[in-house]
Amino acid sequence: MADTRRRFNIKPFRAHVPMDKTVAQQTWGALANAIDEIYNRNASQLSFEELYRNAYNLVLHKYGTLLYEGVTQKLHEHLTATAKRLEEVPDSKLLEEISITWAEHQITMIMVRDILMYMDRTYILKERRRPVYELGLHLFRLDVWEHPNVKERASDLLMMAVANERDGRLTDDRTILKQIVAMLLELGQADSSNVYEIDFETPFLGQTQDFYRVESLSFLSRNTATDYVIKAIRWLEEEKDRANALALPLTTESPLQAMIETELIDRHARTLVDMEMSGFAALLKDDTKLTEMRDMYDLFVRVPSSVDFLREALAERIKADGKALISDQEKGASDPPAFVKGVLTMRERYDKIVDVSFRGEKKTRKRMRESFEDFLNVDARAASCLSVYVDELLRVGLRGATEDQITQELNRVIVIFRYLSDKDVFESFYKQHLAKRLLGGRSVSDDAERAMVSQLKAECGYQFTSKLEGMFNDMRISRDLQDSYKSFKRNQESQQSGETSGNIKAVDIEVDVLTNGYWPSQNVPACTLPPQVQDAIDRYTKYYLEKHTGRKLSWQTSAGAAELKATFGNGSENHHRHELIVSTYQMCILLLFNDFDSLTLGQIRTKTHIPDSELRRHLISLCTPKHRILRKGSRGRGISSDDDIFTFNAEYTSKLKRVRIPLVKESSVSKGGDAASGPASAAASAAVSAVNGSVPLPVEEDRRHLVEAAIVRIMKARKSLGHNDLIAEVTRQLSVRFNPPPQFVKKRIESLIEREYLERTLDDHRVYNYVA
Amino acid sequence: MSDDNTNNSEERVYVKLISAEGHEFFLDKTIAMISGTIKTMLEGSFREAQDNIIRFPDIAGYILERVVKYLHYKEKYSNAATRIPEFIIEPEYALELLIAAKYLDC
Repeated sequence: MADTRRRFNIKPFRAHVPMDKTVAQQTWGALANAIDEIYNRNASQLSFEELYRNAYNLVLHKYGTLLYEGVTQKLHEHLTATAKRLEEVPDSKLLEEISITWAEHQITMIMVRDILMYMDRTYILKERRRPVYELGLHLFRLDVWEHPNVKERASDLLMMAVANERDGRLTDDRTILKQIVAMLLELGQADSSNVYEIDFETPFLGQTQDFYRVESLSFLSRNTATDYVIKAIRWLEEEKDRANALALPLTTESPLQAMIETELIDRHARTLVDMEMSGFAALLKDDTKLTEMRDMYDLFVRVPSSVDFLREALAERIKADGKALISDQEKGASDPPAFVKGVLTMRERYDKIVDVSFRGEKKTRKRMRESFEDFLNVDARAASCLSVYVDELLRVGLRGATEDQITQELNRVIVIFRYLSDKDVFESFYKQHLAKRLLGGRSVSDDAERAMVSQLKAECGYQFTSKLEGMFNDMRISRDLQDSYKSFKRNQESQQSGETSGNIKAVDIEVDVLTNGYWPSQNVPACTLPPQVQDAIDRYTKYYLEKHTGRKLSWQTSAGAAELKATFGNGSENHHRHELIVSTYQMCILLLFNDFDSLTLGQIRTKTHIPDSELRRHLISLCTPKHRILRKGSRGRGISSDDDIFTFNAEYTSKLKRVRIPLVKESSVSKGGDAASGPASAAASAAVSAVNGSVPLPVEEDRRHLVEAAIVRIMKARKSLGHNDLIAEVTRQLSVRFNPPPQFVKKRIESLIEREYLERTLDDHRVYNYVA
Repeated sequence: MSDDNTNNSEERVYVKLISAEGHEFFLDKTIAMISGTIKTMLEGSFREAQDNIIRFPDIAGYILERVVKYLHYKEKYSNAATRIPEFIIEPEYALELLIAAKYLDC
């Protein structure tokens, strides 16, 4: 304030004249007329200021209620008149008229609101009444829309319009529909009356649902699943388009989408999958249908729960294919390597399907893996087949392959290996095969062998492969020993060159020294070896034991090979020599014939101490038509009795100088079966000839020990544990090697309780305690 | 909404405010529209909007004068960063000015 002391007088305020009733009425009359004029679209003649001032004055002089009530009444009159007019309008024009009327009403209301702005700001806030604009909407709804004649007809017309459009009849009603939808939305919002929801949304959704229910059913019954998928996608897009064009609010759009998806997809998911020829299940069989499947997946993915059906179908198919492979192998229609190759191909095929048709969805991939595991682990068959396959690879298949190829092949093997649950069965077979390969020198490449072992180590850990690595080590050490023994012998001989070393000619031997624990054990007592051989062996033994005192060598005569120089021919004519490559046992047998011309089975047995079944096998392989080194007395394939006589066959001939004498298969010995068809390499025909699904006995025993060890280890750490928890823990620890069934574990627990490693608690016999 | 006097070009439109005694005040339309009531009047479809003339038979000249001053003041300093000088209101007019302000919504 600049000058506080200046006396100011307030100009006489225009005296606050209390307005009396008549003046008020007049003022109101003017306003009422104005509203009429506005309705008649004559507003441009009016002065805004005057009307505004009138309203202002009324409110100021406390006639707000009068004004408000008056306005309400006036609007009401006008709107009723409008409604009446609409009643007369024929159906075909009704929607259009409503739309126009609504637009006009909006304009009018804006003008009325403008005039009455003062009231809006003061009186209404104070008295908490409906603001003017909302009042207008509210009255519109009540008087116009809710008019029975209007609403019924309008609703029906709306629904019909939508139905028409769906049927494919193009209407240009879309703009009008859009306006009416907007109108309903605004009306509903103004007075929270849910007009939109009640009068439009609900019937709309209901009608849509019915429509799609019927349509989808009829379409599906007349068309293939693939066509249906295309049509369904098109429908969904149409509806989305329509919702946009009509500017439906999101609250409608989302239930709409959801409902259509339910009708189109959810309801028919099963049918779509199972339909013959074109259903998903059928499509899976066909390699060319990847895109069709993917389309179906895209459709189903809108209703996530329905994708389960697709996954189910996939799982079923994998199981069926898997079963076919297994039964092929069972019947002998295909051999183990073919089985494995079949599984590999199958896996690649389904991988591709998951990638393309399921867009690599994680859940599906998991399901595929589970299905593979399921059918592969029905019994231990897959493990043994896989080991045979790997054996073949490492013996023959990878000959001349590059490093990359080797890695690729082995990778594929490992993939299948991962699926197996009986990994220890695989290990035991693999060990046996590996032993034969190493000892027989049949492995195609050292690198490949090592690559395989390192892959296994990466998969299962060090423990798994420690024995295998031990085997490699043994071979390496043996070779070194061999070299040093040779040089030792040379030194010895050169020292003894002057003396006669007896009339026994020294025999060259190559020895592989194996550490007992690493190699599959044979435990066969040694047979009686020919004296020359025995002599060489004794010398080697002496040499070795000097190097490594405190060790014990036991000679495995069941394995090994020998090269014999044999002279055939009667007298001095037809002398021909051959070099025969035979097994140790065969060598023992044949060398006997140096001293005798013919021998009986019993005699041979006594002289050589070869176990009987092996003896028979080796004998028969020496009498086969192809390699008749010995002549058998009895007729027929098999050996008749102990008195069966064997004679040296001097007339034996062969085109080759070096002849390898193969061993016949074990099974053919007893039945006297296909003796000449022994496989080319002796190795494969031995122990693992029958690939069946059972777990081999030694593995079974190992498992028992492993489970017991695991139980004791766990109990020692936890001191006390419940039955279910214990089983879960044991299973988890052993899952790397194999899956123990709960019953199995239970038996082991009981056995441990008997042996007093564990005990049951007194109060709760499901809980076990560790006994120190 | 017929609003044929809104222009987007450089041309400035002026409105005329007439007080009770007949004083005429010219001001830029944009400035006048700072008052809510005036804005509505000029944007509506009534007579005022067509000829851009607004009569205020209830508002005295000296009051209207100060209102116009205020509108300019507000427009000038609305988004200003400088120090805003005080708008002086003579106490003898304060009451009427208050009523007018309420009337005009500014």
